[in-house]
Amino acid sequence: MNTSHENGKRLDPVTFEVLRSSFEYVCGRMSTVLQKAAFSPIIYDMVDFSNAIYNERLELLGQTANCPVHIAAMHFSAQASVKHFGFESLRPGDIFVLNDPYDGGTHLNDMTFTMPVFFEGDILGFAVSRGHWTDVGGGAAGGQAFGTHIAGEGLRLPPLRMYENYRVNDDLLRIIVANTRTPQYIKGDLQAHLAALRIAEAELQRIAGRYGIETVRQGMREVLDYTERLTRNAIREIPNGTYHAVDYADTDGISDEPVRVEVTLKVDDDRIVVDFEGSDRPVAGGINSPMANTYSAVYYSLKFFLSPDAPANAGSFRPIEIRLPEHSWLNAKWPSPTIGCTTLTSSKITAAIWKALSDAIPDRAVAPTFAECNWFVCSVKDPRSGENFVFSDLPAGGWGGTPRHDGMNVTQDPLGNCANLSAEVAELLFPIRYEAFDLRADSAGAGRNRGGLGSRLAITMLGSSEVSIETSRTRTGTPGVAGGADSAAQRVARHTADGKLDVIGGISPDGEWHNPLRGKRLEAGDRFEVLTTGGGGWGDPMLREPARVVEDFLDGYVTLASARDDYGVVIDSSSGSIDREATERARAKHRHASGKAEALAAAGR
Amino acid sequence: MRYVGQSYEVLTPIPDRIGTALDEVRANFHRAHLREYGVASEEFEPAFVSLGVTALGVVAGHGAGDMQAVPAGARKGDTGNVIKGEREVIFDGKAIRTALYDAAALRPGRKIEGPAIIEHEHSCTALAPASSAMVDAEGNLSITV
Repeated sequence: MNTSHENGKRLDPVTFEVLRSSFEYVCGRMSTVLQKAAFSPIIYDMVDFSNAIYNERLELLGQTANCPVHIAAMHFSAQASVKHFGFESLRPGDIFVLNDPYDGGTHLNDMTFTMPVFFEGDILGFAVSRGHWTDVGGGAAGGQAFGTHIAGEGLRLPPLRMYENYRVNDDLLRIIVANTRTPQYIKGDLQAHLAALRIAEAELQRIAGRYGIETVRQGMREVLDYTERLTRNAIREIPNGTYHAVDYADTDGISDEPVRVEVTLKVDDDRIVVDFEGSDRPVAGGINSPMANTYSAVYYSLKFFLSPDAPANAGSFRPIEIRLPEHSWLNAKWPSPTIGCTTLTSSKITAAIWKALSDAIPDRAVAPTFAECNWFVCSVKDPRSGENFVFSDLPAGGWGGTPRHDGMNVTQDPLGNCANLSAEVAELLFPIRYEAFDLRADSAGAGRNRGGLGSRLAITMLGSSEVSIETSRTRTGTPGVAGGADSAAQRVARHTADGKLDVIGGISPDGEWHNPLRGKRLEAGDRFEVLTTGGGGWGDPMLREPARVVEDFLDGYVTLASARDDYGVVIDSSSGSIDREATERARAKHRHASGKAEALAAAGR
Repeated sequence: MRYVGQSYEVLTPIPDRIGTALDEVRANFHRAHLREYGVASEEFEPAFVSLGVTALGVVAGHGAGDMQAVPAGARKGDTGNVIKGEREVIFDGKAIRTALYDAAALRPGRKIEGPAIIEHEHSCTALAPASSAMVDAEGNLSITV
């Protein structure tokens, strides 16, 4: 598709570049304003929101990549809103709200606000602002009830008019306020979204006033075509072929069975077909992914390899065709619960796609990440006032090793650029105490280039509390690629004040696996602990330079035992130096045992 | 100031005699928030986060001859031991034994001949050979090169 030449002329490069930057700038302004004006820590501290602008046909023009998982999902929300009310009915000052997973939404906490932007009576485009609202009702704090019906996850809003002529729909607002555990955030966060949208409106109108609406529209068409061209060129660099991979979620929380993501990438010159045939059917528990969420995960997972520097807009979607089986947990329909889709499920989609790409472009492949968000929601009662607080955090893990370097430590999965809740803010606001947030030794997948490390987060609850976590990789860790090893499994636990360990999710010392997607009650004084995992390793760990293993040992990244067993490097613990003879023996023994090492080394080079 | 519940502040002008002008401060804040973010609402309570005051006046005891003025951070009663030690410092490619001075112990009127290193709490001043420094009444180093 090439629409640049609809009126037979193209913008000069300077005007093009100014307009392209303007579209990005508008989104940056929206995000600054939303973050600074917001009332809830999830928005102002953890940055769980996204803002974007669209052309008059609701194609994505520019965005802030706060949460990539929001981005491609947001235009489905906007389209659903406009479709419901009809293009002709739109007026300046209309703002629609929607969170319906089956009509362009993802999970109920992601509230999406869509505003048409007019210029001299014509629709210039749309501004869309999405934020994760702390609590919109449901059977447990944050909607994390882990039930089997969407009704248990909160208030479901089909497209509704939140503002008319810039005036709030008070009836609707009162319903929302009456259906949340955190009413104190609602009006303030809503005002912050309004602020973001009005800034976008003012900026877009200013740009149209300066350059004229026809020039701005031409610029909109050309930035989309520009990104499309760069994306198609990038696809041409991937060898034609069919690439296939599988990853699993540990559980849907209801059954103990793993849930399968199966993906086949068909690369054909300048286009890719992404087919999820073979993935599991809808599951009972709350990890089903609606179409908008699955599409989003595909787009941003591929974006890492398809001209990541190209402006992030709908032009990058055009060469990608997505095929979703009608009955699939990745194509959720009413009333399948979806609360875990944005974090747990989208990250598994990414892991499967990256694994498939490791066959297609081994020289550029990246081993999967910890593929989680480890998003937990906790309601805790202040022992003095009796007041109930709801908070969330998302302890990150590591990214996978690459052909060039080790994976990043403790970095959010590609699904979101969210930040941790800072301990200082958390302790001020909530009756909790942050005990630790540090690197977890031996949590990375060993490799010639190992994965990045996972972390340990420990929080003491000062009052009785209930906690629920969306997590996975608790049976086995992150898969390695190109001969790299898997990482250690994740574990969620409660440590009682008298020192007892109670594994909430993952494998306990007796070897038994505990289903993590079940809420847990904690007593005052209990310590809640999440051990996250690292990224998968890349390449045979027996080929890692011994000096780098020693460095990792000195940094506390690997223990002596892991250095010896996983890397074949024997370190003298008192001097911190390599025992060269013992190392040579250990590695020779390994080479003998595994004839494959040489072949993998060749593949890795 | 910010609305109770927010985490970021907007600078709000505050008139003289704040005690009798809270309504004016409140109105100023709503206006500042509106200008910064395009929205404001009387429905939310404003809160002070920090207050700043600018004061102008004449400082007493000012003058080069005033040996009583004590520079900020000076140690009480410590007037003698201003040299902490010495080490080799490279000036113009040559290593020279150089005295190390404790800036906190310097008193107005003290003259230091280069080469010297004067160590402050978070920085240091290097005096090249043939230059000199004089501590003035406010504790400033006046350097002659």
